[in-house]
Amino acid sequence: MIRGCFKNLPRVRGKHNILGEPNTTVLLLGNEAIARGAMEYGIGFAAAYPGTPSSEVVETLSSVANELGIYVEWSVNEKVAFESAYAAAMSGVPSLTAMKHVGLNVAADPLMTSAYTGVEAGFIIVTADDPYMHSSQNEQDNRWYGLHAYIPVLEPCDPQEAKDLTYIGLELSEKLHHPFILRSVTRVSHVRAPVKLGIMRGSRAIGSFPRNPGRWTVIPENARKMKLRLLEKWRVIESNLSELPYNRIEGDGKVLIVASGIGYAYTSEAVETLGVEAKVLKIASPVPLPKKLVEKAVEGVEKVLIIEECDPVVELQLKALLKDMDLRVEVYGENLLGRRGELTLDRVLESMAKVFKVPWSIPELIKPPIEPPPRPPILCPGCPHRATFYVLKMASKRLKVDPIYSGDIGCYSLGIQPPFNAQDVIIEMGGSIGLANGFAHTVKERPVVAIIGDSTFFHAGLPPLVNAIYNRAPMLIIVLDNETTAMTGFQPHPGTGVKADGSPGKRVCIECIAKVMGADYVDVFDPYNVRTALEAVEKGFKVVMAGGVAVLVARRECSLNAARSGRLSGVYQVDTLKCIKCMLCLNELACPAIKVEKGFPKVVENLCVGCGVCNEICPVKAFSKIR
Amino acid sequence: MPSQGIFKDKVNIVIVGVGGQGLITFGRVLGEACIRRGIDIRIAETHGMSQRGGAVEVFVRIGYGVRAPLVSPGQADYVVATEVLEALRGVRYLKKCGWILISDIILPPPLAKNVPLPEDIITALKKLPINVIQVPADAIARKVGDVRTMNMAMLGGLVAFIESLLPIEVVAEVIENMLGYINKEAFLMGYEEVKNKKSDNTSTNNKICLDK
Repeated sequence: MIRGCFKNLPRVRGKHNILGEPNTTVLLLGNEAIARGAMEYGIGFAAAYPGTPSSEVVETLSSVANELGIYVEWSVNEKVAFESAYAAAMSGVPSLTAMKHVGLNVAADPLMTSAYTGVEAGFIIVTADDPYMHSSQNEQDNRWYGLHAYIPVLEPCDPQEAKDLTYIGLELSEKLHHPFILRSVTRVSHVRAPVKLGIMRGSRAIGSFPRNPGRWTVIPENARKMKLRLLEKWRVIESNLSELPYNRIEGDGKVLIVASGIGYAYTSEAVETLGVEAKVLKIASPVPLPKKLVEKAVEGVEKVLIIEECDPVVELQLKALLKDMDLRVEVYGENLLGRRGELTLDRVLESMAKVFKVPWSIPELIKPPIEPPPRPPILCPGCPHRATFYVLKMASKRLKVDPIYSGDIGCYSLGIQPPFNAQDVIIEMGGSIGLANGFAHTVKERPVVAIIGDSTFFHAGLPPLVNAIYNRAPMLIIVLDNETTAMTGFQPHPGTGVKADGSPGKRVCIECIAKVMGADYVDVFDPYNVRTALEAVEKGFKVVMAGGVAVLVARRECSLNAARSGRLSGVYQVDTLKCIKCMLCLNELACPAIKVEKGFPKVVENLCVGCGVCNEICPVKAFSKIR
Repeated sequence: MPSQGIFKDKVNIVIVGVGGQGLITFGRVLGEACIRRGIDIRIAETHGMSQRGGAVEVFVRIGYGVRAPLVSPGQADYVVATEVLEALRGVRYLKKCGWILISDIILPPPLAKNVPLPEDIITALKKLPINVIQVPADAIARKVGDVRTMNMAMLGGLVAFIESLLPIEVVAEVIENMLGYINKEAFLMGYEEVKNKKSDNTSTNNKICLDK
């Protein structure tokens, strides 16, 4: 058993609330509400790969998995999570998969075909989009996937609706034998609000799979028939959605406001604030747009304003519909709201005031009297990545090389910050090794270093590693193994050997994989031990410069986990008699626990976790552990 | 949601600080207290990457009919800053003559140059048309014996302003159940501190806001 095999027990968050009695109102995070909706429906299977802002959906389900008899797993990536949940639904077990918006790109292959085969039991695909890119590389609007894949999209306006629509999505999915997408956004998934609970039906976890290749194999002959049926089904789905009570018309007036998803939350308050008479069409199913209801809503109106977050998905469908109806009304939306970032009450008020021609101005703002220093996210005190980045920079300096640092998605993306500046390109999960495959053949004078996390390595690092070995693309791959999926909230992964519910799985060993694949040099080092880490990295560079593929695993538990569990403890202090004020510790590590006081480095006691890397790099060893 | 109209107006609160200071717990306590009182609430949190020592904002909206989760700049009745530098970033959310509660903690970002001094920040803020209250939250937390209770001391300060909406006993009970006794202690001490301070007018130098 590896060190601390059971350390990654799922954190029980609001378990009392999530298991609350029917008809009580409890405080739930949007993602917890989605989980509760699935629990009320009686899903028997859930699989996901964590990603902000989606992670708490399956994290919540994992905390009640054993109690409710639901099979819950963290899969290696979104594609596998999707396929697992899809198969569960094929076998008659209602299921859920959840991912962040970009995760659905990874799962897009099975997604596109799932509409062709349909499902046996309810199947809901939760995509949590991240407008404004709080924690993401792009702000793609996944409602497009619905149009693209012929899969209906439900879009809640708040946590209560997130719960209700999860349930309804599963119910409609089962009734229509078709997958459903639930599109959440950051300000639904990560909003806490009162949620009235419903009855929990028992979980259905055991399925069967009668042999029926005509239904489940998409060989061209079958797929052509399926496409025909799919197009008919799409019309049935649309008419079902027109009757969904969460799509409705409120109020009356000459101006129609079409508010989709979270757009409704802002619209209802903005209408009240401006005191205007408006007809509001509340949309909970942006894809396909409920045609019959829209036709009814546009009757007798002169202007239409569409409020939706991100892309004009409702707007384009609506405009097409108005064209088909040969109805000439003024349509506003994207032209006033734009198509980027999050909606705010101000943005909605401003565009609404323009359409209604009523006065509205943003209140005079209080300006900060002093500009605060920027505070970007940084590596935590004791973070083992800090030491690895330091070693990487030292080794390249000593060997006089200027590597391309091909980065990836995770806490270590923060290596982009000074003093490390060690992320030259970051695109997507697994992109570090994938892109290195290209740079290795085109930029000959600089070695390529691919920096990838442990969970990310399993997620999307294996195929590009095979590619590099097979096609002889020289590169140094550093797997930053902190023994958890840290950035998204410490979910376990194959390298930890712990399953989603905390029970033991089988540990998959990163260095063993690299060896058996045929990497030219494989080693494991402890980044806290700076000297041996430096030796390993220098050797790795030499292998790469000789044309080989080197895989180094920098293994050291995430300092947040280690400090919480007491496996890492202590506080260092600086001996000012020894210190030569070279400020290496301060300038080369940028540790939040080291500041300057009276010209000397000083350890901030309540931040230091006792990793000792500062003392490792100190030329005079002026640091000592005081407890 | 059974919303009661005792407080007709909506209350907008923005909590600002540094990732790891317990801002999410701050919001959750307010949420649980609202549930007990049958008052509607929306709490918009920051998770993920920005939590790693970065600047964090939590938006809280309380009252009948709240639906929008975010508070726009210039719309907050209260800004609670659990860190002094973040008060500078958070002040733009404040309404004219709104209240800003500022802790006694300063966490300069690593490698930051020309970090302003806390006393200079407070002096500068007091020249604005707003009300400024300093809460010795870190001192309180040290007194009760756990530096992590700082957030509850700040919450106590906030509740001194909104106790007609959320009675002190209700919030105290939520804290004791959720976080234990010493968190409640810190909360009560923060409450007392601010209750006394807000009634004397020394908290603000600004004549425009004195009568508010």
